[in-house]
Amino acid sequence: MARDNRLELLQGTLDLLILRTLQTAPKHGWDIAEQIEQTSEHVLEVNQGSLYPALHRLEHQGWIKAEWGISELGRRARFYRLTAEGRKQLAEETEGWKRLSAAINRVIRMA
Amino acid sequence: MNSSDLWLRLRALFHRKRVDHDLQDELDFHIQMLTRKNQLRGVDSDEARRQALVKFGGLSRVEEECRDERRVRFIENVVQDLRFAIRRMSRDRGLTAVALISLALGIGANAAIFTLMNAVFLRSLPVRDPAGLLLLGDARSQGFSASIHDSVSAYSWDLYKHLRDADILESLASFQSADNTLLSIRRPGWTYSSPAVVKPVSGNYFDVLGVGTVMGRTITTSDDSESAAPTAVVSYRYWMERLDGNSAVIGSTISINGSPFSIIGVAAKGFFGDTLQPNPPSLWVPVSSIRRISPEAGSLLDVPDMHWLYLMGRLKPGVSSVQARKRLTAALQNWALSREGSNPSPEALQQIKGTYIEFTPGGGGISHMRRDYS
Repeated sequence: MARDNRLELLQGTLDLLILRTLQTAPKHGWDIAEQIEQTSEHVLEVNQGSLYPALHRLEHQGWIKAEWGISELGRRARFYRLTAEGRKQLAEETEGWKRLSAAINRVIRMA
Repeated sequence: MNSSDLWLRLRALFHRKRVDHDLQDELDFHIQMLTRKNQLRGVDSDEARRQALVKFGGLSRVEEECRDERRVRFIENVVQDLRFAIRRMSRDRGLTAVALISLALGIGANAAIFTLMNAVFLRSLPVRDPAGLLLLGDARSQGFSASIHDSVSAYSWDLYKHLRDADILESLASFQSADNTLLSIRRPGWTYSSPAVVKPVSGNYFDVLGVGTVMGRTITTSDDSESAAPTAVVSYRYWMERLDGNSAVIGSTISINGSPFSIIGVAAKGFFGDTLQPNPPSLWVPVSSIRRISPEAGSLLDVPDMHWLYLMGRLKPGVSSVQARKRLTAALQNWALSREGSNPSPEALQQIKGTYIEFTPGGGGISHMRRDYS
């Protein structure tokens, strides 16, 4: 695919996408990045460098919890999982995002 | 401030090196995966790694940003909390004093009660059929003693082998009763040695408990002989925290008090040993190998009247616990009599007659908390 078709993530949406990705199962950073890119059909590109500061920030906020586990390479990797608080946050952020995008859509149609 | 934040901050504060090392390891894993992805596209390995680093956007910058997340939140939270606390407390000093005192008492008592409940009622050993495990004695005495009387809970190596071979129980394992033997551990490549709790156990220990490994194998009866090559099983936690969760450690050497042991396995993830304790064992070694760790410890193998082991076993099918207890007590008294020679004194006979073995359900593990509170 052409590189130009990719979109940089909006400020703040990375948190939402990380939380959503972890909703089904714990994952390590690499899996999170891969899943966001693949699910978005390579439209969204996760800036590899900003993923980890975001993960550490979410961990400090208590929304995700990290644990060492064994990765497919047979070495240890940090797996993140959603906490109960994180689930609540995900619901709120999803709701917020829906309202925001609906509003923007309305403006685009009207203008 | 929330509890996870506080915990992470404390960890970052007191285990800075560890936290930094963990961070490097985490990021390095990502680079490895990225490199592999590039390689799968046909790029040669050096170039694949170079491209991965470029895409990642500067390893040290990302590391610094992750650290910033910690610091920023730390300062933000502390300032916020302090400001709020001071404002509230200065409003009513008397109430503040009462609140602080009751908080201190409340937290202290709660923590103590929770720990106790947790140890006594909630925990069960992560082993096969914990309800079928029996502890011989009540684990009341710890360390070692030079004689046995009344209800026996510590046993010598010689007495253990006698009871095991009497074939009364289906299986009988033994392990060191003391639970805090810190020994000096070193690995090739470590610049300094660091202490860890090492626990000597009989060769059938893991088998009797029914605990497996996540990798490699457990200690077996053939390892538990003075002529066998010295082996060690490491705990999952020690493996993750000190050995980087690296699968290459299996078969490699770890030195205990300067003596080389071969790591043969990593114990199952939730297994912290037979005793509920704040500092669980990091390594298990066969009882027979303790002479290698220290020549003085070797006397624990040689002296039949040095009682320092706890015993745990399982009943044979169809044998009641009352029957087994009676037969074990008889075997115990026979052993003690044979130690007295041909002409035992009446006092010695009296003491031997008074010895007996009772069972404690072993499925909860040994908790010295339970011992102290019951």
